[in-house]
Amino acid sequence: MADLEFEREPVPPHAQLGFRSFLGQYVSEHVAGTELMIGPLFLRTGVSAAELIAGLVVGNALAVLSWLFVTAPIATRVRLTLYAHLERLCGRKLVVLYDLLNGAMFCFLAGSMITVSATAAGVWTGIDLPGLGDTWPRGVGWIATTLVVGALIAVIAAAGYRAVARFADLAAPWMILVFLAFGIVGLRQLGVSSVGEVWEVATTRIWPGGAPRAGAPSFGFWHVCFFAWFCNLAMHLGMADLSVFRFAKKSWHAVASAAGMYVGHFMAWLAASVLYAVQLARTPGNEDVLPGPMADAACGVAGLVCVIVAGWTTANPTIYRAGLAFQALMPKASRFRITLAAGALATVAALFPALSMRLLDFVAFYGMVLMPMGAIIVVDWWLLPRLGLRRWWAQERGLQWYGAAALAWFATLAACAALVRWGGVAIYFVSLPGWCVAALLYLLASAWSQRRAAHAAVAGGS
Amino acid sequence: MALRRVLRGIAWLALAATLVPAVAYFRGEMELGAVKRWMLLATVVWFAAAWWGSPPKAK
Repeated sequence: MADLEFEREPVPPHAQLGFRSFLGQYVSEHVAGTELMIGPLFLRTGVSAAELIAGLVVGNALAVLSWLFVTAPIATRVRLTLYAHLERLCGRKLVVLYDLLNGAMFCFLAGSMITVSATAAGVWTGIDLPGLGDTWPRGVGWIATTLVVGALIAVIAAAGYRAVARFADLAAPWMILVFLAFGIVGLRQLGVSSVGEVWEVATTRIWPGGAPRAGAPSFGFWHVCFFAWFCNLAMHLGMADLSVFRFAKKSWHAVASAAGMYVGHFMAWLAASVLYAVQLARTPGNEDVLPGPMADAACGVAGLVCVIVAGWTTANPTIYRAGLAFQALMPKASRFRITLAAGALATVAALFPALSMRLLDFVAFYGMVLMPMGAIIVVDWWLLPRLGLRRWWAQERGLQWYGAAALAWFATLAACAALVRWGGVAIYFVSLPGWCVAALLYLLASAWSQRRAAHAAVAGGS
Repeated sequence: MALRRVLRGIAWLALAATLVPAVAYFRGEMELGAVKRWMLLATVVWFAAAWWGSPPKAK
């Protein structure tokens, strides 16, 4: 039977896609339920309006440039999935470990999306919703609501992924407009009555700058810029989107990612931030970040439906991808059961509000863990042949575990963790030097291991 | 085919109607309660018209 997804072979010319396909995909994937958490969390950091907007403009541009100049050129030359590429580079056993981590991260991410949807469902059921400082599930009502929402999402992801993907395509333009409506209604609720007053209210009532709120980190321009750049680190510099852009006819199609960034990670974050500012203005003691009640206050039932749909349509592919990653560990297990198990794990994660309330840190951690493999792929593809070394060494030597790649990955993670833990460096900043360290370590370790193998071959032959 | 074209036209109108109430509220021309009702109506119409108005293969 032909491999229609081209999971093990390069994408042939007849299956390649044009620019518009990527435009739709990036917009629908980056207007997610989690945007409703990230916007308010920014506001809590005490960032000023100018710093926030400038940081988002620059950070999102850097993300687009990363897709354009790092991910897509390799994707359109090799045309393999990330997993197939990695298997050739570092061997099956290391890919299995990568899959396990990637699958777990996807489950936690999907968990936060389920949490967002559950806050909207909770408005209807009238349950006690979790507070900002809550770590454990709050009450039977929250547990029951989250379990029902999570179970529905998991079953649908396992049984009807394609139907939901189709529904997500339909929902995308409507969701964008509802997010825009959140911002417009929120501005009016803060007293803005003309476009000329927006900036004054933004700088005095929404993002006045100053000290962060209790328990939140302090953010300035660089924090916002690096967060916006690296919140999809695993996808661009981490190379996960090799699997996406292998279908692109031209590498410049990666420009389409700008639509996702500036709609989802600019407009939607700012709109969600405005909703939170309205909540703080109306009920100063209520600092909880609950997308459901905030959306309800601005746009009523349509807002609640938007929160549920935004969480659901993005949790669906995330759980599906987690299932695919886990299936690589157990190729003979049915995809339905594995996806269901991934959905169950995501639902359990969703019960704990701490995951969503600390989403900024989790997203940065997720990128940091998977980022070194992207650096390894870049060095392996572009640098090694120019230095007289061989790329895809594991495939050439029949290795299951390529030590040079493993060393670069683990040593980089250890260095990044040490910098965060003992060096006092914020987690948002460690991934850039980490990426360079991983590249350098892989280069040195590859040179050493390939020269050693060459010497052994010469010695064996003489 | 003609019905599908009509449905697509309705879908685009519903999409516009999702945002127009918010703009009217911003300009002080509509109450928030009315904004919420109009947005809900536009949402229902958008999903119905966009679903049945799209090509059968896409479903």
